[in-house]
Amino acid sequence: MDEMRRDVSAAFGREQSTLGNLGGTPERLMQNALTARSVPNPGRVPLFAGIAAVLLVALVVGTFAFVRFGIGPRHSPPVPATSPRPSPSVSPSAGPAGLALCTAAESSYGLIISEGKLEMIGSTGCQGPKSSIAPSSVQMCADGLPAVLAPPVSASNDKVYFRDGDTKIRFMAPDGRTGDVTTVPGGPATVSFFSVSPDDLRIAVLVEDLSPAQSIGLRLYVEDLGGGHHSDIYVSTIPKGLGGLSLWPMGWHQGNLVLAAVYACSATRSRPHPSGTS
Amino acid sequence: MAQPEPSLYEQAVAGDEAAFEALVGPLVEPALRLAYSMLGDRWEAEDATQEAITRAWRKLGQLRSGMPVRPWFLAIVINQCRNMRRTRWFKTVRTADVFERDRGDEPVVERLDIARALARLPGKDRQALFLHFYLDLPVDEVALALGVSASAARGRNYRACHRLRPNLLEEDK
Repeated sequence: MDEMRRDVSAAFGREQSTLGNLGGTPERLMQNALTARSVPNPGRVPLFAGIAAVLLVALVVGTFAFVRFGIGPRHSPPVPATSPRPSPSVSPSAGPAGLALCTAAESSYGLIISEGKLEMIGSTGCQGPKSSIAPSSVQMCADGLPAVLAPPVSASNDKVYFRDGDTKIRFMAPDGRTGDVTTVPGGPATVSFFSVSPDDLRIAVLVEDLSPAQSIGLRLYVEDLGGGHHSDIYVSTIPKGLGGLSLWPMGWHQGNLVLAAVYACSATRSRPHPSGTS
Repeated sequence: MAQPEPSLYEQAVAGDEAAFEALVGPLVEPALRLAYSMLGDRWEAEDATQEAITRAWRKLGQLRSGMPVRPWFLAIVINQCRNMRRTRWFKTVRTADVFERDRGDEPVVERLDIARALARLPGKDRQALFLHFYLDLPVDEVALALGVSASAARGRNYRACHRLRPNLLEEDK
């Protein structure tokens, strides 16, 4: 039994070593918890469990929601309000998945990315439009560590924008219209995350260049959605591996860009591939 | 006659944050490790642990005087992890490749075997082993943390070891 204890403990120890350096994490968790203790519990994020073979994260309070594709940040971000246009092409009948199709009265949506499709789901569980979407080429960060991939979507007041593949930014509206918008840098070792302003005029793009062996190049720029007025506003390099903090342009607030600091590489080696999440 | 000095537990129940921190603070790291073992993702483990601390604060009144804090708190962590697993939007596939890097003198194949065997264990058996063998909880505390009797906890550990051993023997052939 002693040998068993030793072997099992050693195996757990090796597993725990992938947790990385805890540093002041326990203290931070305690402080966060004590801070949060007086905040009313907002309840769980609703899951549309009725959708077979689809698991999602959605934040739906009068908004479009961001969706995580593969690996995302810890918390769903706040998202801008939306007021979808009337959708004359959508009738209140049942969709292919047995869900009622959304009507023009639907005021808020969540998003699902699954099996190569981006779907809008109304907050009442109705089915909105959908479009095909391809994952980025970049999946790994360094030394077997998966890359942390921020949601490849962004919502404006009346559209959702999404990155299709590595470079193409497209839009989808609640009435089912889709179209190409612009392109961002991307490829086998380059991935971009973006956010479109609520008025559909500007786009902020964070470009991660993972081609160097020991580091990741970061470049943040903004430009008009249709091109022009390009401005690089931040350039930096972070170490490749655990602990390197990247940026994610998660949204806009009153004309200002809102950035989140996110790890570039996941601490967990056993990561599901996006195609395995459905 | 002088009033006896209130215990940490009594101070914490009375709303003393410092007492709560002194009581639960040392348990946060093992709780985080337990959550990581169950969820396989550091961020989720941090979320679960943080939520468990908040719940522990709210449930402090339910902790009976004299009951050990450690298994009580770890039980909250386990429940929180189970809830997160039920509602998570993706599925973590636990595989042995997390152990692929060669870090020690032990032969890699041997380490992979036990890692695979552990990965195949049912969650409850795995939790029992983690609490007993890795966090060094005595069996009665394992029982409290898992919400079972001491004999059931002992049986669960025995069963888990029994399940590990054939696996290891089989792969040694």
